[in-house]
Amino acid sequence: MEFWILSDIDSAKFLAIKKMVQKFNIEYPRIKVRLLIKTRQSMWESMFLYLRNPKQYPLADLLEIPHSWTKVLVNLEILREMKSIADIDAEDFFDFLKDGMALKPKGDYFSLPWWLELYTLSVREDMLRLIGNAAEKLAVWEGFVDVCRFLKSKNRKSNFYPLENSNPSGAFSLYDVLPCIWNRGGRLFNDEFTKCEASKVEVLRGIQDFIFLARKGYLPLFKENYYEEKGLLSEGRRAMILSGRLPSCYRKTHAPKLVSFIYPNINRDGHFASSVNLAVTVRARENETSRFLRFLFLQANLKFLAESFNVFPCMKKSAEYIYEQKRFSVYKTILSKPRMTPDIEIFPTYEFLMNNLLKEMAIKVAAGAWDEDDLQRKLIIVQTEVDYILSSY
Amino acid sequence: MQRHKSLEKAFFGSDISEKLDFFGLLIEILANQFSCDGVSFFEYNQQERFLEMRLHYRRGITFEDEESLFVEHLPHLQKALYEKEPQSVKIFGTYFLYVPFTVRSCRMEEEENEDKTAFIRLERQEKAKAFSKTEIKRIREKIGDFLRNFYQTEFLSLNKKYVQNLYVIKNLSEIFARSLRVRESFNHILKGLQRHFGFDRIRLYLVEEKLNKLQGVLSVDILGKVKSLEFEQIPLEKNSHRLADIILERRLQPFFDKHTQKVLYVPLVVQSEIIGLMIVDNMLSQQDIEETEFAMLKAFAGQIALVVDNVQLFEKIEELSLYDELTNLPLRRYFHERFQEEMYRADRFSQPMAVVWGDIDYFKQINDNYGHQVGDRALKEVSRVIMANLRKIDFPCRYGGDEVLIMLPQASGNDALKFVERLIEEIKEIRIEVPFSRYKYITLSMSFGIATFPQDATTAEDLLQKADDALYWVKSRNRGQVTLYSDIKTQKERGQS
Repeated sequence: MEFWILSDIDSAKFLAIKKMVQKFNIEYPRIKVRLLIKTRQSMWESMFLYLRNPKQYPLADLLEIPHSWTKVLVNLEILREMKSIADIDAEDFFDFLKDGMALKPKGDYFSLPWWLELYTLSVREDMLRLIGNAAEKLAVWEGFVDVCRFLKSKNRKSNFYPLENSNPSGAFSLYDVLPCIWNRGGRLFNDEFTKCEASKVEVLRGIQDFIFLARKGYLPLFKENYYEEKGLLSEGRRAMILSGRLPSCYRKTHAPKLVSFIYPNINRDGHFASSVNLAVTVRARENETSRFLRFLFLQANLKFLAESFNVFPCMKKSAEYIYEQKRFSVYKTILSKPRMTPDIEIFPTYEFLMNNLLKEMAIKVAAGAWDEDDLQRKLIIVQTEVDYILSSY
Repeated sequence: MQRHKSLEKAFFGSDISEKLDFFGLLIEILANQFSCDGVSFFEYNQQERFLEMRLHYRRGITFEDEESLFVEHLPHLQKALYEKEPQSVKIFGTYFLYVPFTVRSCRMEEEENEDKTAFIRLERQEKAKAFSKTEIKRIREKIGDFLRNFYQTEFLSLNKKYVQNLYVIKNLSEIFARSLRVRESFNHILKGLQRHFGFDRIRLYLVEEKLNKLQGVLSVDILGKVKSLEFEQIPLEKNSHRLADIILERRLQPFFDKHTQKVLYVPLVVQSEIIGLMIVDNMLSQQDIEETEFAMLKAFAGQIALVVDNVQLFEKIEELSLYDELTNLPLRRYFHERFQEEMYRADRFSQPMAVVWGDIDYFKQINDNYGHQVGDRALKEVSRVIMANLRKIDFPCRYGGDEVLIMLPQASGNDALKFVERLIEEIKEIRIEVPFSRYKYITLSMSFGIATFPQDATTAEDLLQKADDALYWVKSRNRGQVTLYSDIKTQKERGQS
């Protein structure tokens, strides 16, 4: 059977999955699991290549997908119902994750949340001492920006940036700017999801807030990725990171101590969270896929996966430690009021349009050619395109 | 020239067919042969001055990745690009070796062969040693060796693609040629296009010149599902709608939407007139429509336009033979076809049916006194009133001259009577202007006879005859009235007795 996985910031996830496959093969030596790692763009393209020519571009049995892809892939008749294969109750998962499962009235579903990201700001402890009164300053966006400015002025190391770029492409994407959009009271759609709000001033301001970090040299763009090694955060060439992952110091004693804070300013409407799900395709070999899926969702394996690359489990039982241990209190707060991107049919398209626009903006900033009006113009075009797609689908 | 065995096996085996697979194999070989911690394959985006990672190999896994490097910020990359020579650099404890090379394009559809620059990046951790000159030389040779094999296989793969395209052209041409002269053809055409191209969506609109609008016909999505677009009616007025502007601007050649290469407009043109518009889009998937697809659709546009035109002409001819041009009422031949069907249905399901035979009173005199044009107007007005009062299942016809037949399925004698009485009242309200006459306008009246199934007759001919008898009875006594055959039959019987 074939299992397509989404690419990640480093190889830790793949190595973990590879180990799990090896363990699975001890129990089921006849079931060969072939892993293929694809970027989101490539995974998305593969779906449509399959639809255009299923013989030449066959589909995998199992897919790792962002939760917000479930609906569209169901409508494209790529995914099949999973309950009979996975034998897992949807009630075992956090309630806020159920929207991304495409739940049916009788409890069946089309994807299963596999791992979770809970977005925080993490700061090196030594930098915190420098900042002083950090919790108060970092609670608001303006304070956070001031801290960036302060740290940059204080640190003379070559190639130092206050903030690490957690985006593997070296640019920034919708998931990076979304909390800033929400901070400004903006949103991606209206309440009924019939109209796009990309060109609204709150969205524009939110994106500008995040881009400001790059423009001022607080956030690096398009640099070599050092995550495979120790990472520049541990080298002291970065002080902070905005990320959905748990800082590695929580699990590795040799890693520098980082302290996590609630994302600056996110409050009333919830804290940003996102899940990545597993889904079974219509061409899956049922027996093999079922065995593999049930193996992946054993509590021990979910724990192993989450610990391997510093994410969080999606099942309530596996996540009990978050509520029990004081050092996870920030994450407990996030789980009390999480906010995710919607799982509606056109959301993946919207996300790609925004990511292309944001990459274009990142290139302009990197090239010293930033133009604020250009962002506004491009957002209007995105809105027009998304509204057009909304009217058709 | 030394050939690496695994490369040979890969190129002439059956597993690898995509470009990325080739470079995936190359970086794996390089990583193992030169003891690297990681090896990556990048493509150089000349316009944006970026290196964009496509593949990365590390710890026994090859995977797609997204790292992008801005050349202007990295002096070692600038140097590598400018000098076209490998550049070695040590950054934060890691040795990087960037090896640029050129990938020649074999594509025949491009006007000029666009050679592309790519990079292989090899990494070693600090505890290992830097890349020596000998190693760099061997790495370059390896890449060169690989590329020679790659071009060979790329050429074969392109050849295969061209053969596929020819197959598509042949298949689609057959579909267009086989298309019947009916609306179902549109289904076949769009589905045929979808089967071969697999766009997110194809939509078809036709120009209705008389009504000055663009009428939606149907759309087919990537799953082959057909959806009617009949509710979409776009007035052909300037600046009212994007599609209206395309028609009014008389853009005769296919073209992409100005903002995106994911929407393609294909005007359907016959003898320099736009008769319709086909719109192809990949808005959901956000995949660009390829140049080869554009070229093929451009080539097919003419054939598709002819099929569409053919269908419309055929429909028009059929209409002319089935419908009366003056009144738009069905003609006698069409009425008889439908009448037979309805009689069968009425008999089968034991349902009543009524036939109404009408005749404009003093029609000959109207023609003689006021001219045929006034007579024609009278006919048109009467038809208008009749059509406005019909149910969906009723069927009228212009039987000839000034005679009208109306079939009323599932209607009793009383139902028919009420219907006709309504008609009589409304027809009385008609005013036909005759400005050159003393009276300025004339009014109309009609006489009607009604026969019902099964009470009055059980065959089609007999039913019509009875309706005609009833009409004749009205005409011979009071015009502008209606009667049921059953009523005159009773009277006749009384008279005879």
